[in-house]
Amino acid sequence: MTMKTFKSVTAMALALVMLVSLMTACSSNNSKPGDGKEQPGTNAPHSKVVIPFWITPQDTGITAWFRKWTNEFNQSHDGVEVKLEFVPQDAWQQKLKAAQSNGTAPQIAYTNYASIPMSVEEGMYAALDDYMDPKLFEDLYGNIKEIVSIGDNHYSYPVFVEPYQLLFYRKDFFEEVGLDPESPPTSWKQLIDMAAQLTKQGRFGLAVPGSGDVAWTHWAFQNMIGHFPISDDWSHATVNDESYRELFSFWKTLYDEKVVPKQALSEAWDIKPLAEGRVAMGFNGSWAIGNLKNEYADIADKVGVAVAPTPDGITEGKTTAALGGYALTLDGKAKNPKEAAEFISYLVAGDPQIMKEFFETSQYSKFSARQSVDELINKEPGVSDDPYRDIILKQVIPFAKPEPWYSFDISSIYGTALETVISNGVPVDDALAKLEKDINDYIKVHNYANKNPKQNQ
Amino acid sequence: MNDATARKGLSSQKLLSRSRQDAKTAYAMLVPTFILLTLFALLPLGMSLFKSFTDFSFYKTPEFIGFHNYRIVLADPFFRKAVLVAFKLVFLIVPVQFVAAFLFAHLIKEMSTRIGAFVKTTIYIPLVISGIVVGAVFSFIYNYQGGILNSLLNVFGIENQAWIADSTYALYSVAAPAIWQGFGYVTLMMLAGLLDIPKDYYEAAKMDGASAFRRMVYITIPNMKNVFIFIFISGVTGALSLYEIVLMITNGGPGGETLTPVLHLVNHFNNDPTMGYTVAGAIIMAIILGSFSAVIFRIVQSDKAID
Amino acid sequence: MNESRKARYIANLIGIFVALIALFPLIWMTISGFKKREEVLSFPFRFFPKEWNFQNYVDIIMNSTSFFPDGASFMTSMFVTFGVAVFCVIFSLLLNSMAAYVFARLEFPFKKFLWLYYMLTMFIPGIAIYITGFMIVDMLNMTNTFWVLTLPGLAYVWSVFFVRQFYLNIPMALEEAALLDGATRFRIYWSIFLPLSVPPFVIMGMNVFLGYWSAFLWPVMTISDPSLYQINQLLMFFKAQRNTEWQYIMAGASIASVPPIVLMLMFQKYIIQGIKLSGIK
Repeated sequence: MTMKTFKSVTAMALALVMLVSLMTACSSNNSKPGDGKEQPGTNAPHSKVVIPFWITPQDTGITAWFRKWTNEFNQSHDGVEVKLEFVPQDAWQQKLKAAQSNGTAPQIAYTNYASIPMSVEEGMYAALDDYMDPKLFEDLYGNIKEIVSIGDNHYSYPVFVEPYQLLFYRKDFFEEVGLDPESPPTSWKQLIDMAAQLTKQGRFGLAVPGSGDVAWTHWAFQNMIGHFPISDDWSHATVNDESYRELFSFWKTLYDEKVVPKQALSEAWDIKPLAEGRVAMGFNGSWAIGNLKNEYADIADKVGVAVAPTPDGITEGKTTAALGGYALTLDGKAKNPKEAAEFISYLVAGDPQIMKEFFETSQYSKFSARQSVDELINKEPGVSDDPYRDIILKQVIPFAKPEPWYSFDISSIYGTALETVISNGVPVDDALAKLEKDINDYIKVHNYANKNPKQNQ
Repeated sequence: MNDATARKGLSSQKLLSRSRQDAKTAYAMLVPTFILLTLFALLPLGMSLFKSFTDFSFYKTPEFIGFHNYRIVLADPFFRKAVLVAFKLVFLIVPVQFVAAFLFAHLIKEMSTRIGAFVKTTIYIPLVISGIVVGAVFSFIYNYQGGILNSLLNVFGIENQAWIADSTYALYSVAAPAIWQGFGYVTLMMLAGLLDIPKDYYEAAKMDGASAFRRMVYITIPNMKNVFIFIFISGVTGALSLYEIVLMITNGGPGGETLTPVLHLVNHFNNDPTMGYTVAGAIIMAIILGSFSAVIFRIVQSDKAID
Repeated sequence: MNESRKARYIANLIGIFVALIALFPLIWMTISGFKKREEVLSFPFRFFPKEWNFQNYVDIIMNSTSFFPDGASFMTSMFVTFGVAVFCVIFSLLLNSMAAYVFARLEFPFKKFLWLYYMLTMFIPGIAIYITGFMIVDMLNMTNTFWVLTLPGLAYVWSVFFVRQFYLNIPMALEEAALLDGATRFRIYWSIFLPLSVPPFVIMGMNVFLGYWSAFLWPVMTISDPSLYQINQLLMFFKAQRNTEWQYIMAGASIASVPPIVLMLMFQKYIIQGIKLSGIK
């Protein structure tokens, strides 16, 4: 490249820079993200309270729902503007922490239940009771109300819940091998036997979570067998006992009998392998119902949903699932907590019709935490006939327990232990003994004993 | 004073003023980068370092806790294993990439101009493809049932292998895309280094009757030393910092066999309510990266490369 | 003559083979942009879509998907990201090569200390300085501007290092002659070293360009004005926790891959045989 070319390129570049800077300088309003103040140049006669509300990207229907009702609220509430901002999932924590660092954390955030208690310990979220009518919390189902409270205070209001695990199964494959499509397995032994019958070339009997997903999907099984691997006061490991031995052995048998693929065919939450017929049954969560109805509508009616099988085969009135989902939280340092809480009350705790619309857009594959909303939904023609909904509402959610709120590290340690049994052939007893030691070590190093914010509930 | 001494006296004076002038020029030319680095790299690092000795929270007043965060990180078997995994990856990725790129660069030199242009552009393309797409591509290749690799094996009657879930394969399954992605970049660097060597050297050696092999050992390699060092250090740093590819393909599994330090730290960033572990871990990684590179510098020392 | 013809023939063959392997994912990505969402990652593996669906590409360019926030536009984002990347390439190459020259050729007090100072920054992992870096740009009131996207990464010591290695190979003879003629060091840098820097500049330039072109985390953290969204940041709106709009990501990423590839096509010819030694002996 000659000197002349270089010079002309530099000149062009500088011109480009000036152009771009001018463009962006004029169009950007140069305010700090999340400022609670009015933007210069707008023509509001008095200062408006701006409330940033962050949420991760959602599907088309739910996105529209959030936009619509945020607008409705803003129009009907003079002087308050809730500013909806979508933040990409993969950068959520980084952007959130950055905003916390300069005091511009969103006043309202879309948060998952499990992360809330420990964050409350840090002061990250404010109790809603000072700003919301206590009656609104009475509308919540008992076990869900528990999830959002610490002691006598409530630190979030649910948007929805989604239980997992459920057993999804292909009725057509059941028929194919001579099994009754209306009698899915109810015990672990039955599950293994039926899976064996359903396994053939190119199709596995059962899909189970792969290595990356064991840590969280097993919360459902831990709820099922009755306790987490750590004691309620977080002082010692409770994993080296008969019920965990049974769980680990069950899991190992699935692989030994080759009824599950050695490597998960998809991520744990993905119903695709079942829909594609590469597996005959699979554990998944209630969200999969939405996927089936939207993307795999042509085989949706061939898929049955059942309560997850239990160790002893009793599925009536038993805990078989963990309750995941999202809630709205109020920032601990929110500048306008009263107005922010007003929005929360309006959007998710207010007129049941608004929430009914939310569930409608997701074709009732997400589930309400509020009794009044469910009453309204059940009146909708065709809804109460929905077999999926029936099972989940009557047999799963009422008995489901929360996801754990201790550090995810412990779940990782658990997941690794289970994987050593599957991938490295470590005997179950040894793995459990080591797991117990690892968890106890963790508790010691982190001084975890008695740190459970909810241990006296 | 005769002519010679006069000239000498003049030149030593010139030398002195030139070195003072040099210093001024040096500082002036360093100012922009110096300011930028201080402001946006070293200052934040210093702040992080400082905060790592406190229980770093944005909602409570931070308390000084000394080396507590560091102790937690170093005591964590996951972290220690992750560092091991990172070094294993270094030994898997760097030598392969290095040799393959070196050879391929030679190949490009031999190609006709048109094809060479085509190749130079296409090998660069894997870098353009974002991690999320790379992950999708390789999920197709490694899928247990119906994936490209296994389908190929099935043709030969070999049964499906668990490329991602089997601890025998997992690390290789992660190293392969890393090598594939970086290959183009390293090859181009090798090529630039190769082309930097004047043709005359080779002509002269050929005329003296030197074989191709001798030419490579005595001309190519010594002249490429500077580029080699760069490629080596950046390769090692890159392998030690592997994150997105691992996230997309194995997410650290099975059982932490492919858990790289950066992935481990990002997991903590996402899951911990406070920043203590993450920041201490990141600083420990910086120390590890820096020390390891310093060691490499010492070993691959050449009189032209080190100050 | 026959030998070199054969060698070239084989080289070409292998080259094309390798190039196709490198090209395949790009082609797959572009074709996937024409599929419906479920088709992209479906089994059994289908290379071509059942129906060629142009709607995805149209939707993205016309901003008619529901996934972009108000005020965000795909084409604007392409332009802004391009402007950012080009600005950064030019100034990064300039500033960092100046530093490379200084460290390669000049002697001055504190040189060792300064080199260590610079080198230290090569080994700082991003996670260590995301939050504190944000705090600084926030203090400087830079957030939500063109500058926060460009300035923080401009000084890039890997670039200094790489270019320096090339400068070390340039024979002293060239400079000595110029110095005797009374040229200043800066003049030597500008008129001798810069023109010779073309091959390393192409490589580092593409590296820097790609770095800014694919930037995601930093823009998300520092930019909330939709008109300033960087292209990768924008495409990530298609990814929800369990719901990735693969067809849009593939289509968008395919369009977004055009500028870097075109640039590479244009500049790869500058990686050529050095000519600096001819005539000097």
